[in-house]
Amino acid sequence: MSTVSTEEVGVRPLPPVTTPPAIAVDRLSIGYAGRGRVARTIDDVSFTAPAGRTTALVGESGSGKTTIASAISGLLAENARWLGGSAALHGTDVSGLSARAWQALHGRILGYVPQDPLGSLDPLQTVGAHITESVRQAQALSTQDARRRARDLLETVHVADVDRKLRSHPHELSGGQLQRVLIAGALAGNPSVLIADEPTSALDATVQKRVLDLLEELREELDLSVLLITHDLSLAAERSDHVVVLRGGVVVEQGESDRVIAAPSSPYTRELFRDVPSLTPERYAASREQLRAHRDAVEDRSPAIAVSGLTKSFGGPSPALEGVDLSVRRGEIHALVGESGSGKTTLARIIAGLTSFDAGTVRVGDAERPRTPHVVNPDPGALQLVYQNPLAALDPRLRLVDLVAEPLRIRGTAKAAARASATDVLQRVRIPESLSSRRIGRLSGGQRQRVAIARALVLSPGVLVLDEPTSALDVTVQAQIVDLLFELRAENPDLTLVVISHDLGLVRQIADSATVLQRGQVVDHGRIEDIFGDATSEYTKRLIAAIPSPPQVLV
Amino acid sequence: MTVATRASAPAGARRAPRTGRGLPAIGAADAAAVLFLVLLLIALIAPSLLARADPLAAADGQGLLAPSTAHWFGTDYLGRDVYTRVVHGARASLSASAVAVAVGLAGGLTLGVVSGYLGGVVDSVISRLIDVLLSVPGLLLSMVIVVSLGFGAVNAAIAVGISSIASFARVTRSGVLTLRSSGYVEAAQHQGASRLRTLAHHILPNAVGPVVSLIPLQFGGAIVWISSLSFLGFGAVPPSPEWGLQVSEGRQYLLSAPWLLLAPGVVIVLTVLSASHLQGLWEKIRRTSN
Amino acid sequence: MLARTRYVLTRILQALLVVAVTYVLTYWVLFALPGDPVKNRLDNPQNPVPPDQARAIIEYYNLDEPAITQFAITVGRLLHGDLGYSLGTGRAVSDLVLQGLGSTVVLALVALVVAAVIAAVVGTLAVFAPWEAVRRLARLVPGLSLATPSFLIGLFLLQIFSYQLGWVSALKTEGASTVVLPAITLGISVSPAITQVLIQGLTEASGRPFVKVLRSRGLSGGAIVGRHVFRNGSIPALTLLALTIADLIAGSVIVESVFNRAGLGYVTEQAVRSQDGPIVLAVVLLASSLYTLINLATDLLYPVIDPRIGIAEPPGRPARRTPAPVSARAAADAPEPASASASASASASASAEGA
Repeated sequence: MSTVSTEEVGVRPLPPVTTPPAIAVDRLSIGYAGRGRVARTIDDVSFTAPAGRTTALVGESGSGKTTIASAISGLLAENARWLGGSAALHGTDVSGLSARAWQALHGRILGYVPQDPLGSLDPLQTVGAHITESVRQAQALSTQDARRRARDLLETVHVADVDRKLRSHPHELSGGQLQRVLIAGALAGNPSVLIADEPTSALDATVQKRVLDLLEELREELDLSVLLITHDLSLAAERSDHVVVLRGGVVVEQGESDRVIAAPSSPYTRELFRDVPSLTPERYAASREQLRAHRDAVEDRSPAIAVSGLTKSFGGPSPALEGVDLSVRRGEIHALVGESGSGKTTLARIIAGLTSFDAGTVRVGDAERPRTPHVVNPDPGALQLVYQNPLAALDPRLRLVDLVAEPLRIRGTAKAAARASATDVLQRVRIPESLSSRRIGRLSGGQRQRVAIARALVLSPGVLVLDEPTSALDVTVQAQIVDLLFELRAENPDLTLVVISHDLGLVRQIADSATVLQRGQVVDHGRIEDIFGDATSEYTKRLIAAIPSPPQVLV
Repeated sequence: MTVATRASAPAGARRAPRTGRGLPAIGAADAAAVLFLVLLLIALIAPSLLARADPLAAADGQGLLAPSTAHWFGTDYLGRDVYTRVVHGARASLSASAVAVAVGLAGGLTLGVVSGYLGGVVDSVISRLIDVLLSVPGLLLSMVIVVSLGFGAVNAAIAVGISSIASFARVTRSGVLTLRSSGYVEAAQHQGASRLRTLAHHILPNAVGPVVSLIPLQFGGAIVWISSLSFLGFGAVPPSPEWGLQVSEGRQYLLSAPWLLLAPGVVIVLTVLSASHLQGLWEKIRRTSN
Repeated sequence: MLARTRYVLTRILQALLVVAVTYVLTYWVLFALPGDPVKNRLDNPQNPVPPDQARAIIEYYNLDEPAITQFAITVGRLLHGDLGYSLGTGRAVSDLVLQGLGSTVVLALVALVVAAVIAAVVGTLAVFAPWEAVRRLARLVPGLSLATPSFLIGLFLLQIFSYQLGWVSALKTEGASTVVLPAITLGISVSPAITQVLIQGLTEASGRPFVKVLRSRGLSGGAIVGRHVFRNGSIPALTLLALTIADLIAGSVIVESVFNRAGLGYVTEQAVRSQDGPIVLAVVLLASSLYTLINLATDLLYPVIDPRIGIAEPPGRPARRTPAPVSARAAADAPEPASASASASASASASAEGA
C-alpha cells in the first residue's frame, strides 16, 4: 500500500485516516495473454484514490492507464490476466471477483464513463431506453418509476429539452450531449465511485470544459470519488486533487496535484510538463523572434496566401464557409483555429486546391486558384498539404523511400536521383536510413507524420499546409514534430506554414498569426499576441478559457 | 458468465497473432492442404504418375467391386477402376474451374475497374448490368447460358464463368471506388500525378490485389458449381471421367455400391477445403509480410 | 417527406428496370443468338416433333418473322399474362410453372427456416460458446458446408436416413415427412454465407464499446448478448437470409433431382435438358422478380430496423472525401475488398453458386 499521499502536506486537508480510500491499488500486476505467453503490461502498481476527491491517472499511450481502470472496474478484456497484487474499493477487496460478483458492484458501487461517446451507446436503442435499462438494472423499479428516474437523471446532468432527448437515438445527439447521457447512465444506481476513461478526449475544447465542470459539480453534490483517466497532463493538473503518473505500466510519480505541478520529482514528469504546449507557451520564443526579425528585414512583399470573400456551401442549411478573408505573410506560421464543423479543414483544402468554392478569390503566391480545382495539381511545388492521417494519405504498398521519391518521379526525375533526394529528405526529418525500405504500416505514429512531412518537403514547396499534424500523437512525440517544424524553418526562413489545429495551447506556442473560425465565419484574425491578449469575439474568449491551465504553473 | 467475458474481448484479440517478422507457424492442416494440392497438381499435369491404368478401360465381370488392394476405391458398373477415374477426372474438373475463374476474373475486373474509375453514366449502366446479373441466381443463370451454348464441359465452364462476373465486378468496383476517393489517391494527384499514373500506380495495384487473392476461394466455388452442372448432366459428357459426372453415374448404386460416389465426392470436398485453406494461409503470409 | 417519396419511387423504377432488362437479356440469350432453341428443338433428328405440332409452334412463335417482331409479340403476350407454350410438351408455360411452384415454395420455405436455424445455432456457438474448442469447431462448419455440393449432401442424407435407418422413404414423394430431407439439404447448402456473415456481425458487435458500458451498468452477459449484441450483429445476416429466397428456387433444381420431387426445380431441369426456352425464360423471370422485390423491400425497410440509416441524402450534397461508414446492408452486400469481409462475400457468392 502506498503511503505517499498521507505523507504529503497538501494544500487541501486529507480526509481522516479512518475512512478507507475510495480506491486502493496494491502492487498490481496485469498481463495480456497471446501467442502462448503472457505479456506483462502493468508492473507492481500501487496507488490510492482518496474518497470524495478526483484522482487523475495520467500517461501516454501504452502506459497502462486504461488497463488499470478496467481492472479496478471489473471490465478487463477476456485475454487479460491478473498476475498479482490487489485492488480494493472502499476497503473491500475486489481482486479476482467473478463476473457475477462484479455484477452486484457495477452500477451500484461503481459507475463507468467511457471514452468514445457515440460508440458507447447501442445505436438501435433510444437514449431513454438506455438510461431506463441502467436504472432498472440497479434498482427494482416499475417501468413508470424507472422512466421518471431516467428523466431526473438527464436533468441532473443538465441536458436541455429532456423529453425529446429521451426519444432520440444516439446518432441524433452531439458528442457532448451523448457524454452527458452516459454520465447520467453511470449515475443510475447511485454509485460512490465514478471511473471516467478519457471522458473528453473525443470532444471539442469548449465542450470538454463543460463536461469536466459537470463532473466536478456532480462529485461535490453527490459526494462521489472520481478516477479520471487522461493522457492530458495539463487537464489532470487542473482538474484533480491527486495525480498518479504512469509510464510503461509503472508508476513514476504520484501525490497531491499541487505538489506534483510545483515540484515534479521524476524526470519523466518534468519532461511531460515541458512538452505540454499550454504549460510552456514560451518554448519557441527565441526561434520565433529570430524569424520575425528576418521577415521584418524584407519589406513590402506580397502575401504567401491571400483569401478574400471566400464562400463555400455543401448544400446544407448554412454554408461551410461564408465571406472568409485572410492573408498569410511569407515565412509565417499561421494557425487556422476552430472546433469541429467550423470549416477549418474545408478552408485548408480550398487553399490547397482540392475543393471547389462558390465565390471569392484565393491566391497562393502569384497564382489564383480556379473555383473548380484541377483534378491533377498543375503546380505541386507551390504548396503542399500534409494530411491529418498519414496512414490514409500514403499508399500502403510503397516503401518509404519510394513514397518520398514519388513527387519527383511524377516530375520525371530519374529513379536513382529521386531516391537519393528522398533519402536526404528522410534524413532531414530524422527517419533512420534503416527504415527506408519499410512500408508505412510498420511505423509508429510519430514516424508516419515525419514521412508525410518528408514527402511534402521533397519538392521544396513555398507553403506547407498541415492539417492537425499532432492531434493523434502523444505529447512527447508531438513536441518532437513541432521541434522538427522549427528546424525546417531555421533551414529555410521563407517557408510558410499553415497549421490547422483545435489546440489553442499549441497555437499560442508556435503560431505568428491565426484565423479563428466559427461555423464557417472568421471571428478573429490577426497577430497571435493580439488574439490572446485582446480577443474581439466571445467565441475566441471561450476557446482561450477552455485551455486547461493549472494556476501554479502559469502564475 | 463466460458470455460476459467473451463479449468484452477487444475486436482484434481473436485474430491470428501477428509476428513481427518471418512466416507464420505452419500447422498440420496447412501441410495437409498443401500436400493435397500438390497431388492435385500432379493429377492435372501427369495423371499416369498416380494411376497407370486407363480410366476408360472396362473389364467384364469386374463390375461394382468393393474397395480392395487391387482397386483402392472399388470399381464401377463397367468394371472401370474408380481410383483411376478420380485421378484422371482431376484434369476435367480443375481445368474447367480454371476456365470459369479466368472468364469471371477477366470480365469482372474489367467491368469493375471501368465502372468504378470512370463513374458517371458508365458506372450507372454497368451497375445496373451487375444488378441484372445478380438478380438471377448463379446456377439458373449458368443453365440459361448452357441452353444457349449447348451442353459440354467447356460450355459449362464458360457459363459458370459468366455467372460469376457480377460478384467479381462488384468487389472490384467497390474497391476502386473506395480507392478513388481515398486519401492517397488524392494525395498523389495533389503531387501532380496524372490520372493515368494514379490509376496504374495506386488504384489498380491496390484494388486488384485483394480481388486476385480471392482466386483460390472462387476456384473452390467453381469446382462445386461445375460439378453441380455435370451432376445434372449439362456439363462433361460420358464416358470421360469428371467428378460431378461420376457422382451422378454412381447414384443409381447408392444402396449397393456407395463407394462409387464416396470417392469423387470426398475429393471434391477436399479440393475445395484445401483451396480455401490456401486462401487463409495466403492472407496470413500477406499480413505478416506487410 | 418529399425526398423519401422520390427515393422510394426511384428505387421502384430501378427495380422494374432490372427485371425488364433481365427479361430482355435472357430472351436474347435464349432466342436471338445463333442456335435458336425453338429451331433446334424442331430440327432435332433424335426426338422429332410431329409436323402438325411443329407448324403450330412455328405459327405461334412467328418463326418466319424477323427476331425483333418475334420479341415484340412475345412481350405483348407477356403483358397479357401469356408466358407461351412449352416446346417439349406443348402445354402452357404458366400451367407447368404453377403446377411445380406449390411444392417448391413449401420446400424453399422449410429450407429457409433450416438455414436460419443453422446460422443462428452455429453463429452463436462460434462467437459465444464458453469453450474455445467449441468455438473453433463451429467456425469450421460454414467452410465445410460450402465445400460440399448440395447433391452430395442430399445423397448422403438419403443414404443414412432412407437406406440405412429407413426413417424416410426414398421413393415416396408425397406427404409432409418427405419434405424434410430435401429441405435440410437445401437449407445446409445455402447456410454458409449467412452463417459467416452472422459470425462476423456478432463478433464485430460484441467488440463494440457499448458492450463494455453495458457491463459496467451491471447487465449480465446473457442480457447484453440477447438484447444488444444480437440485434446489432444480425442485421446483415438477416438481409442475406431474405435475399437467399431466390437462390432456393435455383437450388431446388438439384435437390428435386436428387430426391425425385416433381416441383419447379424438376420442371426447370427438364426444360434445360430439352432446351425448352419458354419455360427457362419464365423461371428466370420469376426468380429475378423475386430477388429484386426482396432486395427492394429490404432496402426500403432498412430505416425501420436501423434508425441511423436515413432514407435519402439531402439533395445536392456532394460525395464526401472519406466515404461515410458503410451501412450494415453494404457490409453484407458490397464488402471492402480486403481481409475477412471479402472472403465472406466471396463465399457468399460461391454458396449461391453452389446451391
